Amino acid sequence: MFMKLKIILMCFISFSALWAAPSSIDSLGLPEVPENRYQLDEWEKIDREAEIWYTFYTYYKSGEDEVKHGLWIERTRSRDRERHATDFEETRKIYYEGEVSVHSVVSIWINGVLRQRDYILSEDLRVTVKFNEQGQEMRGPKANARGGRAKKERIIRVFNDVYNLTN
Amino acid sequence: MSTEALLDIMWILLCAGFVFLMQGGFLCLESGVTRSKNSINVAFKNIVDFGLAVLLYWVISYGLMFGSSAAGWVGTDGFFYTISGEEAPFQYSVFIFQAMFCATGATIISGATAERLRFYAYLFITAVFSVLVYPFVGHWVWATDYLGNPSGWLAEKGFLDFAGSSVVHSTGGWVSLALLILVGPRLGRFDDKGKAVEIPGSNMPLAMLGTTLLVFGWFGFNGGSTLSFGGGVPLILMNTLLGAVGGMTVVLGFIPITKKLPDPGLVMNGAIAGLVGVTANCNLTGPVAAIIIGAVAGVIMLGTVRLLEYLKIDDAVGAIPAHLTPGIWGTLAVAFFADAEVMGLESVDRMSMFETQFIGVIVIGFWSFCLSYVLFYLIKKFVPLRVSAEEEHAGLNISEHNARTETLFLLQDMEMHARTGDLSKRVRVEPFTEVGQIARQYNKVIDTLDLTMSRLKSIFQDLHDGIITFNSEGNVLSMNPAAGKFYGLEPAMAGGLSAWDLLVPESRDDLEVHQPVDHEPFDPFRAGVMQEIHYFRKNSRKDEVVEFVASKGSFNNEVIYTGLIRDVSETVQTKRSKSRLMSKLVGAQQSQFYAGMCKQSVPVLRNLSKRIYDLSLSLPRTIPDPRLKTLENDAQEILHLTDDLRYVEMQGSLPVKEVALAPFLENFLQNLVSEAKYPEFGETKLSIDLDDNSLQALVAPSALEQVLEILLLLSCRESGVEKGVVVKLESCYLDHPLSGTEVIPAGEYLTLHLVDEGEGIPEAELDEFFEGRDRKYKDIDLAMAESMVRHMNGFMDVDSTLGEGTTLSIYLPIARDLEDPGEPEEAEATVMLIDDHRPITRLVSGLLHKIGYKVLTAETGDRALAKMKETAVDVVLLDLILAKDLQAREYTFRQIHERYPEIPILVSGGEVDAQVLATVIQEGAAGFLEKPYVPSKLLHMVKREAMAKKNA
Repeated sequence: MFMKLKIILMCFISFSALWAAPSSIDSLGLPEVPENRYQLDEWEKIDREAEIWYTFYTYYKSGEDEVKHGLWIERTRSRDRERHATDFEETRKIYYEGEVSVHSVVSIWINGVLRQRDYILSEDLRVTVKFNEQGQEMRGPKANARGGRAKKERIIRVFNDVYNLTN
Repeated sequence: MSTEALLDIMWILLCAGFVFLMQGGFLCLESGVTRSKNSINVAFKNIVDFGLAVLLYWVISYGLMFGSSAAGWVGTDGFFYTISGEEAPFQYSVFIFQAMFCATGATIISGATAERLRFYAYLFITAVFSVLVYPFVGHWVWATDYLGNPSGWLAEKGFLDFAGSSVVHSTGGWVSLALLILVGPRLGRFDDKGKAVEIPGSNMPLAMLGTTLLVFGWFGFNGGSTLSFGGGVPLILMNTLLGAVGGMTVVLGFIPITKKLPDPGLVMNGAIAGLVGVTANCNLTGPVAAIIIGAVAGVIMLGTVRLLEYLKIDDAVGAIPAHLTPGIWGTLAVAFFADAEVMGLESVDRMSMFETQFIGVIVIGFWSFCLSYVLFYLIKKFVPLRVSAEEEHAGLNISEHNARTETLFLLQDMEMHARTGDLSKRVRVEPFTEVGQIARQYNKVIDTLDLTMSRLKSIFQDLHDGIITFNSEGNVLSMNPAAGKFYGLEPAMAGGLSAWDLLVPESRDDLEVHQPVDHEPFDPFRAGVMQEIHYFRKNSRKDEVVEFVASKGSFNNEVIYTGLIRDVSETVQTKRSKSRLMSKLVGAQQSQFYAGMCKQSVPVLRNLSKRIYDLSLSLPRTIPDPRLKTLENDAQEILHLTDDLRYVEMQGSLPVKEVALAPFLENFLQNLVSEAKYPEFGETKLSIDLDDNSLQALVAPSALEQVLEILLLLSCRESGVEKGVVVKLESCYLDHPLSGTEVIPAGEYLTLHLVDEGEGIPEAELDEFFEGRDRKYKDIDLAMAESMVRHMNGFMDVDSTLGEGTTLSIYLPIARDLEDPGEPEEAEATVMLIDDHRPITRLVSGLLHKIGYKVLTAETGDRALAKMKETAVDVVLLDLILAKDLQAREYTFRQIHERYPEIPILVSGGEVDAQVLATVIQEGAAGFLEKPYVPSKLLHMVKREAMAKKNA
């Protein structure tokens, strides 16, 4: 009897070790702040006529080569050139020693108000936050489910921190 | 780790602490509102269910609840929950917080089913709740995927239960309800008519402290459910607070309406109901909505209390009214009161939301109730869930934990007093405790009671009158020593004896009831009426009369009778003696008158009869005339009578001579029948039983004939023609004076009994039977007959039973023919004669002296032993019934036999108890001589034993 119980418990422990709580966000590999480096330079380009009217990234020199390291931003305007500063889509990525991250953040501004932000962890996994015309977050009923919101907020908080979106 | 992340962890852990504090709150609340005899059990269950629930939660339930979802029904991983990495601190905090919730749900069941469940059954119930009920429901509502999106099927439908109105509180309530239906109410919760009987709590202040702790802990319960510390927390805490206040105040508001005094238990449950009500929605509503939800929850709680009483469901702490129905209400209230702005929505589709919430409530209720009901029903088939009635009565502290408290000690000591009635011991006093104060005061009461009881007991013990108590079934409960002494019983052995068997026994060896036939039948339950009971004590051959008066009382609804038994034998005897003395005085006066007349007439009568006799003899006998012979006989009889009368006048007694009674009687009865002096003698059948008796009595034959004629005439008339009369001759030895209608001294007698089968004589008339003429047959002068027997040193007695007949007895002294034993075969033998009847001592001594034996005499065993120390003895002749030595019988025999086993002991006696005789013979008595002694047999046996002793 006790032997059977022991075997069952051992099986449970083995399964537990294999599955190691995959429902946790810890298993996803959240964005990490790139390692600090000295002599990190910034590159910025603003061209109001171009569709991608704003480009920004940081880099350091390795010999003659530029190695991107840190935040990378690209803003694409709508068709109305005049409204390029108020109606655009922004994509942020992170470079790690020249390697671009899997994750990214895509934000959409309309009439100067942030209306949507997608925190993309991978191709299939993203957290989308929508805002109304006043810039207030719009949640669905499910967003008020206990615990889920906290989990989302923690993801967002990590992205915001890494992608410098707190301002 | 960021500051925000650390803050979240700190907040969750703090709230987990708050929720843990709710365990303490439940412990205090449940212990306070239940009885103190179960308090340890209730508190203990609150501790152990926490331990068991958390352990199981870690092993399996957390995985089932929050593991990767299988189609939204159940989690499939995260068992033996272990995690590493950056998120570990946060995840462990969440686990701790969630584990507290699981323990809280289990504790709800503990309160509802308190005071009746077996401890191990409760542990099993906790396990079922923690593994099979709670994690499944929790998964449906609270499980999320990697990104925090709902993964439980109910949550995906949009079901909202923020902190667990349904998931925790309703679930616990549903399981409690299933259990309560299965195990039933506590003993005494509902009376015979089904009306609810309030079972008061043992410590309401403690219960109130528990409620306070619960309200405090609820801030963590709801506040921590955000699992992060953000701006929404203050509103949640605000709503929590207002929900409690709403629930409590609405119950208070109902007090004036119901015109009842404030019930602390209801008010406390009102607060808890309000808290449960806002738990599902406190993150989605505003303060106004919160206070309304709380108030409605309070009203629902009151209604549920009434409903449960109506359904005769006994919820010990009101867990169902406080958790189940307010939980359902709170869950549904989300649809009514959810604020779109707070929810971050444009608008709320309340109908759709209500539909979802309603489905959720039904499904959760169905799962929790049905699953637990079926499981517990099956378990109940094999293992009892509930303690026995005795254990419940004693309290679960004792029956389940063998726990001891000062209250228990006090109750045990008081129970001992109640059970044994022994007030000599005092209850234990625990110093510096409230119970100790009660015990001290109780001991003071016992001191006074003991003193009063001692005084009463002293009276009860020392009273000469007997006192017995018996119940309505006639079972004797107690008796005092006087009653015990009278009936020859130890008072302690009286318990269980029937009052009938004690007072009017049917089969006792030593005591017979001789209740007069004309008396009403004895009834011990006839209170207030004095009844007489007549006894005959066989050993002492004494008549005894007691007066019995019963009084009726009650104690603890049981009817108790007290009977006073007063021995009035002496009073009755004195009355009878007085009556007899008066009769005798009157008789003496009459006798004196008759004596005077006789004195004058006897010489004349004698001369006349002498002349008639002489004349008759002188007449010529040529012609035989039978009349002459008759005349001659009559004259001769008158001459004898007048001679007797003169003898009596001169000597004070009749001239007696030794007459062998058997032939005398045979001759007398034959003449009586043939002469047919009275027709009765010819008509009535006479049976004669002379027992081959050859002993002689000292009698005056003519007087005895007169007496026999008178008595026989009476017996024949009484029996009538159809029935007969028995004339019986016996010899007897009376050891003790025979007390009846006449006191007859001890001695050897020939007894003549005339037994008829007539109607009998009433007892009241027996005392004065020989005082004058017979009451029915006035021509029969019984006083004369009795007087004549007395003048022969004899005695008369009468015994009669109404409806059965009468026995007339004449006791005549035996005439001893001292045989000449001849020359002694062996001289120099010494005999120790132990007998307290001096005439016998003299007779036996004379016999033994004649054959040259030396005789030592003693009246008691002790004196005999003293003499035997000084003088060697060859044979002991011991009377087994020594009136002067109450310890005689086998005791004296044993004493002599143990000290002098070589000396043969002959035992003797008249009516010796067969058992005593058997005992002494078995123990080595040389032989038994029956009294009255036959001299030849006596001498033969003494000689035989003396010879044997010499030869040995």
